[in-house]
Amino acid sequence: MKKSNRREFIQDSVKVVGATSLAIHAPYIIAKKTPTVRVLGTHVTLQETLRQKAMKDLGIKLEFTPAGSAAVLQKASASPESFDLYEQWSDSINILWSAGAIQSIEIDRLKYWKEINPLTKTGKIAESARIGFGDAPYKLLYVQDDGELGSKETKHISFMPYVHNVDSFGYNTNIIPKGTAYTEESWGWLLDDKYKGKVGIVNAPTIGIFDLALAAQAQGLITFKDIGNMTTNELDKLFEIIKAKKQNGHFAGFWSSVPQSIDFMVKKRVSIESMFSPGVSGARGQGIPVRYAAPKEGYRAWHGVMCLSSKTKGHVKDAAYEYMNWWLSGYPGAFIAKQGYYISNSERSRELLPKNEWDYWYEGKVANEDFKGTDGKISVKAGELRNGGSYINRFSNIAVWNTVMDNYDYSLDKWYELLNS
Amino acid sequence: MQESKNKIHINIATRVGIAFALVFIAIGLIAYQSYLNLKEEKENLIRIKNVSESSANVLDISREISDIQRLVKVYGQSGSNAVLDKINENFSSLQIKLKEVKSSISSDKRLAQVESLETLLKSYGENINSLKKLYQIKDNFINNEFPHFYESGLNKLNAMKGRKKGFELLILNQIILDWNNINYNAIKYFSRRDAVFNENIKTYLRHMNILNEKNVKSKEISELIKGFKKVFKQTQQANRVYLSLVNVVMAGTAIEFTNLTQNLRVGSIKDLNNIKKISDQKFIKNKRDLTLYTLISILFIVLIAWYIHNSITKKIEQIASTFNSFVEGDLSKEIPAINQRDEIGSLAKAASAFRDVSIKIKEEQARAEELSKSKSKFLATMSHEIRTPMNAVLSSTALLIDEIKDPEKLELLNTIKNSGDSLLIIINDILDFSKIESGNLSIENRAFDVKKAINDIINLLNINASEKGVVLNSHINENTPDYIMGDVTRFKQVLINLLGNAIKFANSNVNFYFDIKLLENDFCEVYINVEDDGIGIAKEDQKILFDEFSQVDASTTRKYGGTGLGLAICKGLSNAMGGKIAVKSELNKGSVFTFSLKCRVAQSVDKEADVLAFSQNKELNPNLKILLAEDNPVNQMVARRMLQKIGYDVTLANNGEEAVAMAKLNNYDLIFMDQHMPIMDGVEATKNIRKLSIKQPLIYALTASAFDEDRVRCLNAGMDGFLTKPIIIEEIIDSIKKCS
Repeated sequence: MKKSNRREFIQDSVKVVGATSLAIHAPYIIAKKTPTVRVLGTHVTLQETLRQKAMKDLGIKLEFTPAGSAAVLQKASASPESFDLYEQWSDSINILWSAGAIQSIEIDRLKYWKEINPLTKTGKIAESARIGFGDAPYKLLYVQDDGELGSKETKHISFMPYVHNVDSFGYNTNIIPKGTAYTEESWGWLLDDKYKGKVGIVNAPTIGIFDLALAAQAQGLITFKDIGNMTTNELDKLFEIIKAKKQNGHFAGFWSSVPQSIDFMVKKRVSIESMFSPGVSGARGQGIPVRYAAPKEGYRAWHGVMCLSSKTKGHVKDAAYEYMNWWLSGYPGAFIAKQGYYISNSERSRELLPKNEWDYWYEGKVANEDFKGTDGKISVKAGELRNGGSYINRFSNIAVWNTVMDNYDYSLDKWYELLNS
Repeated sequence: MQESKNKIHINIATRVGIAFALVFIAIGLIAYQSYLNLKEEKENLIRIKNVSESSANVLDISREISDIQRLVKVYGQSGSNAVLDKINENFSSLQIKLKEVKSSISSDKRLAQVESLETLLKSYGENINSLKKLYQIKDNFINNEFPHFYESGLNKLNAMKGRKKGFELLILNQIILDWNNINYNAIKYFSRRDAVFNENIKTYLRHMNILNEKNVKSKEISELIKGFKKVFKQTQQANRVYLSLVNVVMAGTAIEFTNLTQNLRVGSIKDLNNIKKISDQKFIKNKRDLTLYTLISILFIVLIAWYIHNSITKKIEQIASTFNSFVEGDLSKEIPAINQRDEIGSLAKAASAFRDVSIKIKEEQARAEELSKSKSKFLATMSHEIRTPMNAVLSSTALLIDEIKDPEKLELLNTIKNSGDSLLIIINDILDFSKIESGNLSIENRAFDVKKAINDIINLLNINASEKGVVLNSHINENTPDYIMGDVTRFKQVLINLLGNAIKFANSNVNFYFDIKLLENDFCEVYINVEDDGIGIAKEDQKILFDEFSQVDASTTRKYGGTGLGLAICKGLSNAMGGKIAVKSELNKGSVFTFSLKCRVAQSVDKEADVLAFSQNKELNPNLKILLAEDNPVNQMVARRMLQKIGYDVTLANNGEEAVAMAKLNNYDLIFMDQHMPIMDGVEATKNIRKLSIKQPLIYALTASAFDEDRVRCLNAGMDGFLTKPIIIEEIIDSIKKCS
């Protein structure tokens, strides 16, 4: 059982730096011919396997700088010159767009645009699906004539839709008994006194605040008029509850990156925490039986966004478009399916996935054999069923999207108070 | 040891050397082990020091990041460069401290924790670097761009007022009011961050837009609205970006950093306890090991000592004891380690050689003794064999002299008698000398009357002296003890020899001196001087005077007679008694012989001597029944005739058996018992008679064996006296007197 944690992450970072210097020291001629695309993002998508594969497939240089979501967002919005492509979640869009850190993407240059499913385009994966509170990505997709972002279809978009998933919390079934999907499993568990001192929350107000809000609401401690757009009063009340919990030693930590969340779980710092899908796979790969809950209150959904820096142009921009198209070309979708993510044009990836894996990940069927994760370790054992069911099923149960609320500024102060309380 | 046979032979020096080398190695190993233990202890102490130092540093780091985070907040209020400098200064110190912590850490687990801290600190450092820029952007928008835009907008709207009138002016005033309200709400929004103010701004903007589009239709105003939206969004984003950096990213990093430092500290304390625990366990283990090694070494040394004792010391002792036994004469003792091929083996071989030599010497000695014994035996036998016929010759001659009256025949008979007497003296001398030579001479130690013994001899030899015309002057110190311890017979023999010689060689006078000097503890020294005025002895001849057959020259023998054994016998007897004999002489002036003897003073004489003395005064009892046990017919005849002469008829027994049988039947008063007889000898017969329940007779031995052991055997068998052949009539009379 290999220990993969922050240490590995550091090693990966070193590799990235090494690759960077390799690129810098590469012969001049090659450097001139092959443009380098600098990608800023999180560990969710910035993976070495993908980088190598893309460089091989496209003949371009790629430089990955993975970091925690808040740090990435902060860096991208403050320094658009520091990156070419930005990969994160839809809640970044409002900030980046209004900061002028990103430029619009031309739909015509996206090869597989037509294959992209209606979730991003209309907000609903199926007729019966609930859209969910907060910033559903379709609301931020199109660049309107007035330069604002909206759902009205235009030729330009603020991001290329690609990876997406529904998040919840993960829990160690060695410690917390397995609950049933949609009936027993509840966001309320995060604030259950039974798990005091063993709870982890993601350190990102646009995400963590919803995990906590859903939890407090499930516990019956608070109700929201619109959980996707809380009032200052609601925020005050929510943070009073959470701060009291924190002061009582309820939280073991606030994680900032996926490797850190794995570390929390593997080192038993937490028994239950906000989690992202690769975090769940990673922890399982290290032998921790983490169950990714299907809460009865619904998921917190997110949508991956690939954005083009406002400062990127010329052949680097061309290469960036190539990279964006590569992402929808099938292989990456099949690759990230192994860590539980969905791709917006899944049919192209379906061909590349073994049927049983497709059935498990997309159709919610029982795994008929052990499946390996993207790190080559077994992350799904034969006989397991994906919690929450099929792609359609899961995306029909969205409670809220990761969102930058109107009171985002206020929540930042509240978050700071929470961290330091 | 048997194994030494198979072993390559190693000498003792090498073995002892190896043993000591092994002991040295053992002690060396213990010392080395102790050194390693100390080294380990020292390393542990250093580790403990490092861990506690890093623990302290970790605590500092934790405090420092809280300080920085506080300063960041202060910077957010003031934007002061001094605060920022302080932040950077603290951050540098933090980095240095973390490096120190890293360098003092040895465990992988802690190193991983420190590396996590480094990663966090690196991103925190990047955050600090962008802090100023983001603050300035935010500050510029809130305090500069946005107010200026508002101001310029207000100025534009006020300027419009001059161009508008009536209703339009009213609407414009309304728009200016909206504009001010928008500004007010924006300021509120940026300070309070409540979305309500943002909603208000949106409402006022919408209202402003409607008023403009419906009534004023000013392109300038719609540009203003559009411009405001942009500036507001920019300001909002600049503020959000800054807040997100400080409130979320930096705060989260700092909190996690604090968390990790706490973990590191807890871990370090755990490490410290572990090291202490391990160190304690190691200490106990080392102590135990050292004790074990020491015990093993002691055992080892004891084994070596045992080995040296067993294989060297003990064997040397055994060989020494073997040598002692050999020296004491026991040659039968087995020699240990004779097969060993080392120094001990050599010693054993030497012992073996010593034994071989000793055995040879002993054999030689035994042979010499055997030779001497057979010589004595020969002499004894010879003297016995000569005495027996001599007895017959002399006894017969004596009887004949009494009966023959013819002077011519009588002279012949006297010649026979004198020659016989001389022959007997010679035989006795030779016998004595041979006894002395062969070491068979035994000396009695009994009390005797020394003056009486001297007087007996003086009286005896006075006859000789007067026959020769020599005057014997006797000078006896009467103030001396009467009795001394010694052998009276041998004492008398020495005197007879010395006086006999003096008389023999004196011209006219012989002086005899006697004195006793008392010494301590009942001891005394007897002095006897015998002076003659004879021919004297030359100085060179004095040296060989006491050697056997050493009469000064052959002419002396012819002139004075004698065997030449006299002085040699004197010397021998004197030596045997512990006395000294010496001579002073001058040629033609005479000689002085001195005899001195150291002995004890006695209070009285023995019973035997008393009886003897008593018997001398007794008269002969004519009615005694006497038995003579004698196998030799000549001796039977001689003895019978002697006894008849003094008036006793005797019964004869031919052997011991007959004697016993006759003694049983007749109550004999006296039995003369020959020692050597066929069938049963005299000793055996005496023993048997003594067992008989009869009136026990006196039994006297009658034997030609003149040796002391014969005398002892006879007396032990129960005999009362001992007469030697040839029989002297006086002796027989004496024995009869005792019986009377």
